Amino acid sequence: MRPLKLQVEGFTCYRERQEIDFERLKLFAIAGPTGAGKSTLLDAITFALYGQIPRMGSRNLDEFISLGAKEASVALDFELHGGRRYRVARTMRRSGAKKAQLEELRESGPQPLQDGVTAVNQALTPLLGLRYETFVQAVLLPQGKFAEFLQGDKGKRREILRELLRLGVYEEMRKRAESRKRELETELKTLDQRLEQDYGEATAENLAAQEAEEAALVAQCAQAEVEAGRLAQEAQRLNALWALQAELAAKRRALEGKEAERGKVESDRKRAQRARRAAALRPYLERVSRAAAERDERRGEEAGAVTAERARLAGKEQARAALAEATEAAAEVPALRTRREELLAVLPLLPERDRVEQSAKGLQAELAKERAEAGRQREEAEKSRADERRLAERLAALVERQAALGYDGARHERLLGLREPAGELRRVRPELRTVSERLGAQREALEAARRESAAAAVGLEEAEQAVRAARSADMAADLRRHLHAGDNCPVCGQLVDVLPEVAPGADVGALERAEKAARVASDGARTRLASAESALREREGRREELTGLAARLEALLRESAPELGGDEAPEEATLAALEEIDQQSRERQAIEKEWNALEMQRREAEGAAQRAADAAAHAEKAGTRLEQELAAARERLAEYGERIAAAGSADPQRDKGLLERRIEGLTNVFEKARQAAEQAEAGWREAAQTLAVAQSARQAADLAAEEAAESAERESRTAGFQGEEEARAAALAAEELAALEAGIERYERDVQALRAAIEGLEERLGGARVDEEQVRAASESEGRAREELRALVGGRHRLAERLEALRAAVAKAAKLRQERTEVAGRQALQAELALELRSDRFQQHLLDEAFQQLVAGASVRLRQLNERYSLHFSDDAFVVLDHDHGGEQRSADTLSGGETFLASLALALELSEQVQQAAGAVRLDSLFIDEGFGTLDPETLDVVAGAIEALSAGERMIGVISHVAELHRRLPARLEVRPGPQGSRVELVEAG
Amino acid sequence: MRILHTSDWHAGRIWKGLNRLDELERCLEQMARYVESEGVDLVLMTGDVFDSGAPSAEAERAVFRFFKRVGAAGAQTVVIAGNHDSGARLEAWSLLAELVGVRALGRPRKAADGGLMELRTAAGETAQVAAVPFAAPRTLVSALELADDESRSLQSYAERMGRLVQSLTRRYRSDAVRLLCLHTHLEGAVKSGSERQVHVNEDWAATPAGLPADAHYIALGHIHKPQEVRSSPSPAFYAGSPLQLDFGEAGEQKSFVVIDVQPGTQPARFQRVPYEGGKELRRERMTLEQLTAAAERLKGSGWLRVTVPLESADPEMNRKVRELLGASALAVDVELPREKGEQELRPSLELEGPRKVFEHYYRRRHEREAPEALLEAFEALRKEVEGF
Repeated sequence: MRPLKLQVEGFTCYRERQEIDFERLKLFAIAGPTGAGKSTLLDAITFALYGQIPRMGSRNLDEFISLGAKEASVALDFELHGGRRYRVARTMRRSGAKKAQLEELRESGPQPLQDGVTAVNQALTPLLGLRYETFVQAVLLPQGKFAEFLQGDKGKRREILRELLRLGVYEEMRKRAESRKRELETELKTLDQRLEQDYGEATAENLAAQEAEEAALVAQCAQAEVEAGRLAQEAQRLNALWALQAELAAKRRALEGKEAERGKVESDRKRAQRARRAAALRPYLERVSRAAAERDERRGEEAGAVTAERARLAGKEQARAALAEATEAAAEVPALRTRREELLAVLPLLPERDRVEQSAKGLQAELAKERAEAGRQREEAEKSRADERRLAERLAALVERQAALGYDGARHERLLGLREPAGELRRVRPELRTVSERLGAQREALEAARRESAAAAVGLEEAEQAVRAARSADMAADLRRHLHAGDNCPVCGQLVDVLPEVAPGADVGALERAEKAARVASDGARTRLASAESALREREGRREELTGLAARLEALLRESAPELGGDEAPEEATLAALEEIDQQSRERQAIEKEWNALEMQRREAEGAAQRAADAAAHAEKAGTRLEQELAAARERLAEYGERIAAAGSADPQRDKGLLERRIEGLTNVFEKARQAAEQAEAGWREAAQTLAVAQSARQAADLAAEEAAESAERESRTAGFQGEEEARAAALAAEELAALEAGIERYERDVQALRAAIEGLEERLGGARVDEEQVRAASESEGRAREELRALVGGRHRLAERLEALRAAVAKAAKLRQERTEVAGRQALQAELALELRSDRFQQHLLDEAFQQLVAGASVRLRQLNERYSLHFSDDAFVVLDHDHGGEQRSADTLSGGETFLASLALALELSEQVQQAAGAVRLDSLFIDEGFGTLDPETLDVVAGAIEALSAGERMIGVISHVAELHRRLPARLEVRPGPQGSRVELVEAG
Repeated sequence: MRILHTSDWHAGRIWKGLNRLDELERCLEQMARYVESEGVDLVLMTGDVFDSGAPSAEAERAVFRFFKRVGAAGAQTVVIAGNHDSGARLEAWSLLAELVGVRALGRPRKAADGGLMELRTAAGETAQVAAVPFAAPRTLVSALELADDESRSLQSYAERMGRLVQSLTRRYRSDAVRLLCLHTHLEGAVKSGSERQVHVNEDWAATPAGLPADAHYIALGHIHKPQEVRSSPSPAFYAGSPLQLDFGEAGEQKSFVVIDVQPGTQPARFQRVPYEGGKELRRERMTLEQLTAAAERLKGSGWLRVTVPLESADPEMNRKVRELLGASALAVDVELPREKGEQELRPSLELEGPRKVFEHYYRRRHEREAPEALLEAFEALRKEVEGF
């Protein structure tokens, strides 16, 4: 926990709201006179976090509300390790409820977490990780409590350590182990139950008994099988005998049947013989057939050829007729061709005519345009000419006016040259007058000045004289003053007998002043005189100058402009004349300008007229040309028209087309007919030829057939037949013959076989006889025996199944037992763990260890602070060894104030440090020490200050309350608490 | 020009109840005589004049007496505050001390405000003394803001210090004797153990790299052991304290430094003059018999720290030794043989983890090793509760 910002208001001495910013502080003092409120700041922090104040506990907190304030409020912003920031705010009223609020300070703003004292307290303690008691031992080391750890109650020490080192973990572990242990016990019980109930039967004995039963059954089955076999065999034997008997009888019957067939067989034999003979004649017979067939064929062919030839002939005649028709029709063609030529000649004329017609139309339009243009231009020309005449008149008028002006250019120029002198003369004259006037006055003044000067001079002289007189008088008086009778006169050196009277002298000073004034006046008058004289001279000079100038100018004017007469003031006349002539000149110029403008216009008009006239002429010429062209076009057009009309056709193109088609048609028809006729002719010739060939072939075939029949007859007779026919009849197909012969053979064989079989059977039977009854009985017994066997086998299978099931159950039971053993093992483990984790065992051990380490570390620290002492722990109490005095052991209670301080500090710092480092322990990011450093001697103070400086090497914020200046000097910053009439104020001062 | 460099007087220091001001006074007396007889022009005192910010009257008297004598002899003195001094107080009495030619600076200042002093000796030589009193790290920043406006960007104390030194020594002239006084812990210096740790949680206070290369002599204060800092670009010496201030300094030969130098480029000559005022601090390890034999020799030979090796504790030993040696025995300690078995390695909770500690505990309690299964169950349970 590291404080960031503290706000207090109405909290004991902090009546007015005070805000302390801790963020930039790392190592600092809280300083101020006694009672200013240093410790109160720490109280405020504690109050904010825990709702309690170290010095008062949680009762009587009302006393902490400032006098005259209605409520005390404290708000603390703090940061926990890990960076999360929180704000806790508490208020307390005199007779009202206490309020509290907890917020988390996030980037996005404060997030309310808890409201109300109880909720806030409950939420804060786990956040901070420290209870109040531990906080005031490890973070806030308050006044007087410092040495508690060193000298205090054993049990409390342990508690504090326990909390700081988070030994609560192990207690938690113990609890869990305990509960696990119980769970496992329950599980064990369940398992046992199951084993008892479900698997009671599944024993090994049971299994053995069942197996024995199975074995017996198997034996029985075997026996039954043997018996059944035997009976089967007997039945079989009897059956066989029976079968043999039956067979013998059957064979005998068959033989009889065969004998009956003999007759037929003989006749077959005969037939077969004849057929053989006939077969030899086959080729001849075949030849006969073939020849007959060919003959028929030829006859057919011939008939066909005859028909064909006739048809062709008819066709030929037809074609000839058609040709004659077509030839007639085609006679028209030449005349048509001629007409076509005519039309063809006319055709190109048509487009030409059209073109010319178009052209003529165009020409006409153009002509009209040109004519119109010509007319327009002529009008235009007229108008321009009229304008021009008008303008010329006006120009003439202007010229007249100009002449009337009567301007003389040369004179003008002359007069211009005189403008300046005239002007100047005009200026000079009045000036001259003025100067002359002034001159008079000045002369008078000069006179006056002269008189004044003279007077002043006189005055001066008088004054000077007076002064001299007075001085000499004075001098003498002075001398007389110092003179004593009997002295020598300082002036003449003679002895002075009698002292003259000292006459009251004139006031030399006043006279001197008067003289001075007179001098001044005289000087002044002289000066004025001089200046007046010079001014006068100057003016006179000027007048001279001006007069001369005026004369010169006048002369010039008169000379240059004699025509102006002998005026008093030639300049006026000159200027007047100049004015007049200037005016003339301006007028003249105006007229000239106007004339120029008009002249330009006139010229333009002239030009325009000319242009228009030209254009008109041009258009007329064009028109004439067009007329001519048009006439020519019209002529041609007439010509074309005639020629076309001569052709005698309204639409030559179409007519030509028709003609052409007709011509084509006729010629085609003719051609076709001619071709057809040719073809028909050819066809007919071909058919005739074919016919001839067919005939001759038929004749040949007839001959051949006859010859074949004859030879066949002959041969047949030779072979013993009556004739060919008989032979033919006797013939048999090869297969038929073969079949017949095979049949005969088969018969013979069969008879043979039957005889043999009978013989064999008789032998086999050997005279034994059996009847049906016997056979049947044997079969029945066999049947029964088999039934029995089946039943036995069935029983055996069922037994085998039951046995399987039993085996499985036994195996499962074994597994369950194993499981039980294992669960029992775990339970024992948890039980042991729970035992060892008891607070008087492992936890105790940890505490002891921690304690030892704490003491060892604190001892090292103490020796660092002050070589002299080391810290040890024995018999539940702290002892200190003094290494400057032979290692003397002293109980911590017997230490002096300074020594106690050092030892407590060493312990507290070590505790802080260890707590910081213990894995999983609370992190203490700040440490406040409120202790009376003032009780320390300088040496110890130095040591302590050094220790505190060394502390700031860590990340922690360390605040030290002290009013010892030496300590302040050594800390980089301090919060100054100053008491005031309105309450205390806190101010941050940085060392510098 | 002859210069005397001394430092770290810690006047008024009370140590183990001893006030050794008389020893310091003897040293000051010796130095004053030296200044008078050997023609020293300039005395440099580089800090820790007093042991605390509010020294005793006797201490002040001793110091001021020295300054006055030195001033009367015609030498000028430059004093800078050390980390033990109150700079403000120093500057307060320096107003008067100026009258005897003593200039004291309590905190770093700009060159124009007194950070760079210029002195003329009687012989007409000029010395430029750049003076940097001790400044705690935080205050060096505000001091620097006086010197240079780039101070904000510098991170380490060493850099800031270097800047400050540079801003002062930049104005060195070739026609003067160029000196620098600095009270700080310089990297490479060997401490005695009695110096208060000055710089905590910062980089090295100052590095020799930050020192100027064109100074004739750099006078350093703070370290009590006299030594030369060889890694410095210009000759730099810690004068060291006049007395052996702590048993850590026992046996150190204490001396002040005398420097002969002229303006220009010729190097200065140095010599060390041993102090003759301080009593020795001695550490002795002897049995009671040996002590008895040597008692006469040891008594009065200085301040003693005696360690007596013993077989078993003897509560009377302290009294016996002190009887023998009297006031010379400042500290008496006994050395007992270590108890075996105590050094058994104990696993620590944070280093080796709870499991190891539990193992150790089990072994101790039951005198046999813990079954592996139990240890594993322990670890599993712990992980479950703690979440990691």
